[in-house]
Amino acid sequence: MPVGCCIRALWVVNNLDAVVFSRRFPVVERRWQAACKTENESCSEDPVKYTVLPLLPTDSELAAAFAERKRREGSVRGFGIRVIQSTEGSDSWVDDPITRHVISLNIDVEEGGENHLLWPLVLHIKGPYSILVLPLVEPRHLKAYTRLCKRSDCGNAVGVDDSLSSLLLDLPSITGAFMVAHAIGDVITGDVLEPEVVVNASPSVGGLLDSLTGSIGISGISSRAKPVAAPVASSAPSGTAVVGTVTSDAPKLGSRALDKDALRSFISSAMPFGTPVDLNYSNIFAIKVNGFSSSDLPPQDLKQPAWKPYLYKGKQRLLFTIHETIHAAMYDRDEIPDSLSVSGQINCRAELEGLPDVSFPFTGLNTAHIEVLSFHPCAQVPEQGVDKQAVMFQPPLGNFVLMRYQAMCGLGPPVKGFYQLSMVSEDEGAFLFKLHLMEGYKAPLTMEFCNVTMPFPRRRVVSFDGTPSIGTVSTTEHSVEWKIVTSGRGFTGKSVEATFPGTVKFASWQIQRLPSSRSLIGSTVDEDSDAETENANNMVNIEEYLMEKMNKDLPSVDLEEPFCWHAYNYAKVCAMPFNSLFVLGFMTSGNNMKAVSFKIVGASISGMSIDTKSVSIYPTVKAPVEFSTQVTSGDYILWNTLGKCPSVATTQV
Amino acid sequence: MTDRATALKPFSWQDWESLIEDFQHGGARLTKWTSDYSITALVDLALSSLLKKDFPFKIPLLIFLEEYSLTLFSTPKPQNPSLHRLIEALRFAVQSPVDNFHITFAFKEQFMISTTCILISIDAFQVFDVKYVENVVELLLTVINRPNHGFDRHTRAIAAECLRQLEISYPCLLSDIAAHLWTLCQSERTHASQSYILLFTAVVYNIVNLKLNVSILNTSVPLVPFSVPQLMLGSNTGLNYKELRKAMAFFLESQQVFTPCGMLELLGMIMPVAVALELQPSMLKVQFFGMIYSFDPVLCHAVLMMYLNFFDAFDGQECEIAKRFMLVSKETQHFLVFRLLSVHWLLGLLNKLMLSIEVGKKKAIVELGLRIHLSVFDPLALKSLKLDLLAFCTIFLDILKSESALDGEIGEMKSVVKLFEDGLVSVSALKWLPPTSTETAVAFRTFHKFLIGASSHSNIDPSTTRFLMDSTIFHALQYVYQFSLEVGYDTFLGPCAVNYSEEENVI
Repeated sequence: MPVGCCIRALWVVNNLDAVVFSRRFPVVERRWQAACKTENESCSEDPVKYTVLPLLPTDSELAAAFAERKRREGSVRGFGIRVIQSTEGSDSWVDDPITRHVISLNIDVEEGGENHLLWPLVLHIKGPYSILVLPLVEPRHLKAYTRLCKRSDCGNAVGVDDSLSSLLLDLPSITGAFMVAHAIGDVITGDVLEPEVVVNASPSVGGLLDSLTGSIGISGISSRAKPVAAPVASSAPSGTAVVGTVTSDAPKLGSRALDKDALRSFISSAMPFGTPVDLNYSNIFAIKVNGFSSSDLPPQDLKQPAWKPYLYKGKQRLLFTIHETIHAAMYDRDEIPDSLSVSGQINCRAELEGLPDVSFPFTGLNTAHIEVLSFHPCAQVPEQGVDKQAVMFQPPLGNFVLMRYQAMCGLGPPVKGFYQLSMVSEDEGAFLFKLHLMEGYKAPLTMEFCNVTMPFPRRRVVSFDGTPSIGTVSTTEHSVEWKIVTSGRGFTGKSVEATFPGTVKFASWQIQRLPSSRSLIGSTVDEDSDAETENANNMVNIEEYLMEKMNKDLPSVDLEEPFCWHAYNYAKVCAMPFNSLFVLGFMTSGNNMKAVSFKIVGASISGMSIDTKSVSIYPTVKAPVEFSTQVTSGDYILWNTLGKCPSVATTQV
Repeated sequence: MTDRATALKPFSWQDWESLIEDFQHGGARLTKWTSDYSITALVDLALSSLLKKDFPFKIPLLIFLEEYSLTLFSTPKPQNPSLHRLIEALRFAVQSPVDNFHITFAFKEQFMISTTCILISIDAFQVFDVKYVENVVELLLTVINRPNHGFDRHTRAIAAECLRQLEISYPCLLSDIAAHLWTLCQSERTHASQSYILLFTAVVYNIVNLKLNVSILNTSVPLVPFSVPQLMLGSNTGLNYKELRKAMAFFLESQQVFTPCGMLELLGMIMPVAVALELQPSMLKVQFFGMIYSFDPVLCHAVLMMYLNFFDAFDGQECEIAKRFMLVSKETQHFLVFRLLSVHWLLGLLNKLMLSIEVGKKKAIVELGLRIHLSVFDPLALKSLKLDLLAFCTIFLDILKSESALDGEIGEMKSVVKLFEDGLVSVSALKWLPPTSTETAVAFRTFHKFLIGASSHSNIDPSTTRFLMDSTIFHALQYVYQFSLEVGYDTFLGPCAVNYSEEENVI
């Protein structure tokens, strides 16, 4: 059987553990059964032998097995790492975090027959739904996994075949199944986002269907809701959890019914027999809605790519938008250097007739700053790799991400300085911010606005005292907000210094029961009231005392989090498109957070740029080229200089 | 079972919906239907519903027939009236003009898909009268035989996909008409061309795989009427290399039209063809290696598959591939799972490389692996896997050090202990976080990997313990472990506690 990706079946399970949609692909299933038969005949002495073929479970069997796994593994995703509660034969026994994404289910067959293991099930959680996709593998792969999750020893020995890594390497069907699961997730929640392309002052231009409506004039589709413009952060799905909140991986109740017709229609085009051929929902949806008319003539001498079912017709232009997100961990300490990195992407919309090639050189780009460059499949990258000088591509229709990159920050940090917080008593903290905004940044770089929020998710703010050197301050029950630069008063070509000394008082600390569903260990913390009554004055350092006291019931975080946010004092900058929002949040004694967020327009901060005069289109046409940039903050953290902070070793070799 | 179908009114679409849900649910809910109704009657009812003008549930019903084809169409054989009626209904649907209400393109497409699926699922070619398959193939061929026809281009693409599935299930079913299919491929210029080319590729793959001596340029056999080729029953006589190489050149020229999923399918088929035709694998490398720089995980994995298949042709590019996947793991725009997968691919790849390549290259690869960088914002799952990679590389570093020829060079590398300590900085919060913290679990998992990754893992092998105690990591860990004993962290080790308790005695 040639390598590839085939799907045996897929299920969508809601948060009440009921299957709300299922689809089986008999053509692929027939191949699985044939392979099982061959395997059973050829390995008569194999202990892991099926006396019955592991057939696909019914919906009720699958739902029961999924619920049982959730119970056994502590959460929908599971422990991921082997812990004391892990049982032999379960995913966490394998002791690998990816078993939170590639799971197995023990199917308890209702009507006689043997129970069996179903693997690999790719698990994707989207909104209230868990999407499970079962790709075709060979029976020997399933047997290898069965051995892994039932082995009597305690871990991977290096250099041993049949490790989970070897299986994942050998099975592109698992990779493909993830693409299917993500596509299905987008279809059922209806949020199929197109990358945002900004044109001058107007907010953004729409997606594929808008270009179709404009070009082929079908009025019917213009009534459809426009594709929501995707901010740059939406393409960074990992780590988008709101900082400082404990988000459970238990999905929330769905707000809308599952559109089964849309799902069936998508599957019929995307993977009619279980073998994915095109997972582009925008194209599939456009074909379903529009069909083709006599004016949709194929090109004369070229083949129209499968990823470009329609050709653009109309006024021609070419738009680029660079989106950059800056991540920073600012320590202001001698022993730990600050770290700043930029993740960027160039979004494009090519309203060009026919099937032209477009190319342009990267300008202003110090290649030493660029660490990773990855391209849209339409880009033509030579075998030798990317020269970091230029790119050539044949654009698809609609908005698309042409390339992504990871870079060092070409300029200095847009927000620099320190944040200090010291608890003067158990319920009162004194803090000081001293910040420089846009130091060394020249026009046209503009910081549009900048807010500082200090959320205290584990403490209730009673009162607040202090006056910043610039901006205004307001409070809520669990936060203090400092608006340094307000919208409409952005500044260009100068730096701003902002200081903010103050104190904040909290209600008395109460031991809290935070949801710990994501706890890896799953044990409940023993509530020892004696410890709470201990006199704080006995402790030399109030900070340490408080930290110890508050950390006692700190729930463990998900493996998807970078660390236990609640355990640190910090400030974070969060992105707010079209506004430079600088949110500084902070947390005292492991409970409150300090966050910073901003937006800068005018130029990229990695140095990435496009010279619109150097963009060439072949065959040559006259088309205006527009270009814009936007920088927003991702995880932009100012750690409390006086407290603990997470870090990594800066160089490994 | 009582046959009450004739006495029954036709089902409403709501009836069908609940029937389908009960079938999918299984158990007693399914049995209720199968014991109350004869299967033939159910199929009859379904087919008559499908051809009704005002029936709104056609597509789900077709999918139902497809998913439960083994239950619904397996008997009687070799003649099956239900199958006959199904194919006649398909013919009616396909040949009727589209009115966008009763007959839509979506309905035609799903009907073709479901019928094809049913035929394959019940093994119609082997078990039933061959005319059923011939009739459907002929109908599908008439659909695809209108290249560049505008309105139904997507339906033609689906028909080509149906034919491809039949060809995959019944190798060389379409080998006699390969030349026609190639002509159609060359003519087709709409987005349906991917489906046409994949269909032709499947035919070529099967011809090569079964070593059939057929011409893919000879159009003497007409496209329609279609009959099953005699070759399928005949013997293998050798390949027509010249023609097949021409076809291969055509595939390589057409790579621009493929979606990432289509590309994976194409590569899966042309790699074995290239081997059988004794083509230089470097030809594929030149064409497809650039896909590794795509951000589409499917394309990256396709390159990996090519690398694993043509190990020798990629000689010297191990480091480039390893480096690329190290970098992919840094791309914060990816879903976490793809970053995890890239580290796993790297680990799997290193595992294979360490077992096969020469010592000098091993050193280069290990050095590269040791450069994996942990970011403070990496999710703990990713940190954990990156630490696995470090553990893997340090263990191999130890092994390489033991190989005398490399003593001098290896000595310049950073010490294993330093690597271990640096790696653990990322989860150093275990020292003060509650014992239940995830950081603690990740840290202890890493201790475990560094400590026993190189051991034989046999419970009865006494050398395991001795090996552990001799290792430098073990000594470095003693300090940390003493700390952990004070706070009772060994409760986390779970099943691994056995190993750690051995060390405890030593400490």
